[in-house]
Amino acid sequence: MLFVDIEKQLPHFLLRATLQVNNEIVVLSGPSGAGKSSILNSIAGLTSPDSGTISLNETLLYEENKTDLPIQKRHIGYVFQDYALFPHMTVWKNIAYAIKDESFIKQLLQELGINHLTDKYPHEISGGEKQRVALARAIAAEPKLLLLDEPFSALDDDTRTRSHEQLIHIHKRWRIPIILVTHSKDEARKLAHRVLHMKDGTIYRTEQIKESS
Amino acid sequence: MSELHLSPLWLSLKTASIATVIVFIIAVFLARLLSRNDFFGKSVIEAIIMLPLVLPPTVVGFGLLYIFGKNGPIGKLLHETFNVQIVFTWYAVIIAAIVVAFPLMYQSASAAFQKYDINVENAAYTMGASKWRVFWTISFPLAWPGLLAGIVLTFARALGEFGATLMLAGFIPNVTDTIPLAIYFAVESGDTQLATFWVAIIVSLGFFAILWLNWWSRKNMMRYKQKK
Repeated sequence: MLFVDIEKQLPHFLLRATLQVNNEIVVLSGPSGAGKSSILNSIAGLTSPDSGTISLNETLLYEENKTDLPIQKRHIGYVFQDYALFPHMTVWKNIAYAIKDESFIKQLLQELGINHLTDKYPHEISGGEKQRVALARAIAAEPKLLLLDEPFSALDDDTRTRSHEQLIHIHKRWRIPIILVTHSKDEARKLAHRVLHMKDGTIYRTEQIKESS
Repeated sequence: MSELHLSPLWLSLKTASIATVIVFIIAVFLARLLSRNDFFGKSVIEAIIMLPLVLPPTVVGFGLLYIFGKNGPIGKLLHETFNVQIVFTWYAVIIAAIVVAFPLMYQSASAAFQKYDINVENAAYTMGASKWRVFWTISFPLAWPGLLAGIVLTFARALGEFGATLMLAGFIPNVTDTIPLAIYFAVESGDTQLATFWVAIIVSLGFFAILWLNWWSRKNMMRYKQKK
């Protein structure tokens, strides 16, 4: 379970977020610049909040003036909007960066349908394939929480639909909390157990879509 | 042409190589440290680093002479503690080359470390990699084309250094007579043939360095281009 209660001064507003995520898919929805990515970055440890607390399961990740666990020790998977694959490494090496267990990598590649890409470099594969590699790479590190920052925004409709199904599968299979940032209302309804609507740094509405299994 | 001693060539190559290695290590470290961090006073530090690029070499030489002279802050310390003299020695040639070439390496390295997507490093961190590992497996390889360009420029600049070298190291045959100094003193003494010889050497070295650099950067640009 993830618990977040933070404040952070951003250039145009004060970001104030309180949220709790169990083993469910929670979607952060809202216009650009609402502070969605700042929340993800604070959770992952890429940036520090000004005050508050963040904890994951029994581990305290951040507490004002006390704890600020480095990114490496947080065990949080992050799929970036532009995927941030290592451009100088093959798909295999991208995934193997996190883990040495070859059979686990093979299993992951199989499950995400990218086992034919192992020797390709990121610039040689399509957007949808990149997204799957980024997802595989994030999961390979066996994270306790998965963050996805608009991972489907650059995909065509068919690929997006397939990616949605894959994310639902991933969630069922690994049973970890997932936070997804998206602009798309359809996407939010399709994937989320809960949608948190954000504007100007505050979550102004919580919408329960379905019960978490 | 008087009897040809090749010592200027070896001295120049040796000095430029050593200076390049030292400059590379310090500039890469500093650029990595400063390129992605913003803090108070950063622009002042960067301005100081870049200063030798815009100052006349004589001013750099004057400054170095002050610092490393027998009564200068560092010169005095070295002399009294280790009995080492810098001015008019081979060390002076290296120091002059380091100082004038440093901005070029720093600038190239700084640009190289800002060129790639920062989230690539962040992704590696989220996978549990240490800072050290991320530097060697992600940052350094991705910055390498830019760093290599910096190495070539640094080497060429160190090879061609004249003004600061003359002021700090003087012209001592077989000790501080780099090619640029050899050219100047050959012309001074009316030995045009010798001067022409050294000019031809240094022009070819510079020409091939730039030719290679252009070829290399074009090759790299092709490699990083997206294949559709």
